Amino acid sequence: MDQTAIAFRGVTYRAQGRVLLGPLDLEVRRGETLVLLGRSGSGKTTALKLINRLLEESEGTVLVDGRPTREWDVISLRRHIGYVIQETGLFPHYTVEKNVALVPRLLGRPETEIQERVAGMLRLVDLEPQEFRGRYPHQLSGGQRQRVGVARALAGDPEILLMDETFGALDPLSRAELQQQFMEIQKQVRKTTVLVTHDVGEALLLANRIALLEGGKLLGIYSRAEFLNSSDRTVAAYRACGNLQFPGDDRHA
Amino acid sequence: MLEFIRLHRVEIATLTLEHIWLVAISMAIAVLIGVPAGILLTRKPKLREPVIGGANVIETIPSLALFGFLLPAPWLGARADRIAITALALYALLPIIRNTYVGITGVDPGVREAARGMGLTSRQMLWQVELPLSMSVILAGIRTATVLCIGIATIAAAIGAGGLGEFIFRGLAMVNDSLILAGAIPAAILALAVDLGLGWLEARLRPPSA
Amino acid sequence: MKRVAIVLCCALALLTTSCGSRPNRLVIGSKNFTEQLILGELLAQQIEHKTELTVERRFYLAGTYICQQALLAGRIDMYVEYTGTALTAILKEKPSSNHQEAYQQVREQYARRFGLAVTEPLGFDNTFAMVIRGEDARRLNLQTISQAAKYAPQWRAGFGYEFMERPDGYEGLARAYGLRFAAPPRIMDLGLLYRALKEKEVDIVAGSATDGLITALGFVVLEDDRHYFPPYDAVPIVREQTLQEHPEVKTVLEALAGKITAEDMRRMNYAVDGEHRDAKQVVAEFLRAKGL
Repeated sequence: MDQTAIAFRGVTYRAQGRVLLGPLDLEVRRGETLVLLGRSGSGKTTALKLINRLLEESEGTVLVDGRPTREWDVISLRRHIGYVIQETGLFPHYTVEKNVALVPRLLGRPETEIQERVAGMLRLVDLEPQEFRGRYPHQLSGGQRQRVGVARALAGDPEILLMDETFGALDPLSRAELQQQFMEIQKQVRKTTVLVTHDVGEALLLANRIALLEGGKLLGIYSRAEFLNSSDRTVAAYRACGNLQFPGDDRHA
Repeated sequence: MLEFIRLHRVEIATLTLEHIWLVAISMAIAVLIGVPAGILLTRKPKLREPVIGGANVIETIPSLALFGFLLPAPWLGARADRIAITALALYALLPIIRNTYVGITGVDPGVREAARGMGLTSRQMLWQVELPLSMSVILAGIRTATVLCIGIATIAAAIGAGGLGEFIFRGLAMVNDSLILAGAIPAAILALAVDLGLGWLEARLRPPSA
Repeated sequence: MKRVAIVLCCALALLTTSCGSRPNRLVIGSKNFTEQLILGELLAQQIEHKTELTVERRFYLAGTYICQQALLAGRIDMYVEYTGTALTAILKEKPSSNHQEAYQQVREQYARRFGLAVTEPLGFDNTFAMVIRGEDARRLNLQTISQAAKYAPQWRAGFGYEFMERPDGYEGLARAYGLRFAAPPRIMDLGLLYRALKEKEVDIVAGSATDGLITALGFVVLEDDRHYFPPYDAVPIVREQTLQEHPEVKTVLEALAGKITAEDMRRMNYAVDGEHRDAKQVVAEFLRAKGL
């Protein structure tokens, strides 16, 4: 049980009479990066949001650290989970420093610790603290903003990281850069990560395992190798349309 | 005209101060009630229709009529300044409530979602995200309301509340242009000054967009 | 942001204290017709001459209600009111036909309800006067209102706003004398009534007993034989607070008791209205002549 960070048990999500997700049974192992892959409307974002209770399941149970999310204090739950969305949602009226320091401040950490943490997080995402901490989001490029978003999500030292199409809005070069960056970070911090994407290439690059979703149902969970060799028609279709090029194929196999 | 101003400068100053006082008190009341009301509407959307609808109705009542309605009210109606301040505050409510509501609901949904996801409580959301980011819009509402009040306050002199309208009404009764202008010009200047001043503040408070 | 708030609060505090009379400054109000201006000017000059206080004049206030509000709010310190008006329009009591009774009632209630002091009457009664052209009076041999009532159906009447609306105005008069006019009375500004009468746009107006134009234009005041109109003795009304802070004002006002007769008032009114003389001068002359 300790190895399971997140678990979905018979989870269904219904909205306006329609079933958008489920029934879903899924486990996320501690320290792994699980990618939820699927097209728009496949339910992957829904599944993600059930983890930090931005949405509530209609049936079934979502467990985080062995406890049903329903039993967690929802604010506490969210503060212990890092959350990065595609638009970053950086507070435009806060400096980079204030943005990144947000969760540690909410958790009541002492100020000196917060300052160190902010600097540390910025370095982690390859942004020189001296240069960037006083800037405002509108003074940053798209890529830089995404990095701050990741730094912010990690600042509270969460057990779990949720990422929703985080690299989707960036130009290909920035996207590639950030994906590399993310893998570096993972080597250092080893967070349990659930990452939502519709991009096959990204999934294969970043994932330990890939959970393929379609029409709200889980089609299967695959390791990289399994995904590349699967004879399943849907998987094959994904392989076909993805631009599958992997420079330096030596990461977590 | 200049000679007139020089001769009557004390009176002009007195009436201008009275005018400002009427508007200031009314606006203070309207903001203290209106902004929380606007915030409440974002939390309880069901109230939106009745509250904004109600404020709308008040807005359509001609000012002089509203003054008249309030005359027989107990305590309120006993003093002209109370009537004037009440009416002015009522008129100021709609722009303020509406802009507060629009400002807050207009906050970038991405920011809102990120904030929720990070574990901000509803209260923290309000003070750290929603209010700072909607301050510019709220201020726009206050600006509209204040300029409106400065105008309506000139009519308050008709019921004895003092202010620059006294010059205007007197000038009308005596068919004296100088008097009318002595009331109208300061009122207009006041309105312009407030409009520009708050406009500047509004621009400063606008959150920088990416 | 905080600094802005502090500045605003200070400004507000400054404003609230600066409204109304300052330490050695009194504000004297008056309504917006000639007699009121003269009386206001009279009070002002007396206080200026007999005390160390400076006086600010806030004349031409648009009516009884406005003056009352200004007094209550402290925007003016005093003005001259008429007992009959105070009784019915402000105190909402029934009109009285007795001078002493009216005065006592007004004095007692104003003190109790508003904290306003009513000093001694100035000496004349500005009651309503039903006024007709001299030629009509002579031709039809009219001296009283009862006599004139017979011709009412052929006449047009002209009255001011207050006269139309007040309980002690047109409504009661029509009932008391059985007046019925051909058409509803024309309502116009007080200042325009006599001109309309002269130009024959109306045949009878409700004026005041002290109107200067009455003698000047050769008009005639009809006698109120049924004693409908209540007394309207002119009395200064002052804020209690003002009297307490400046007892010398009380002395000045008491010295004016009974010093102005109806004829005095009519003459001063005519000097300003008819001869277009400056009110300040007219008042100064009067005060000198009376040795005040």
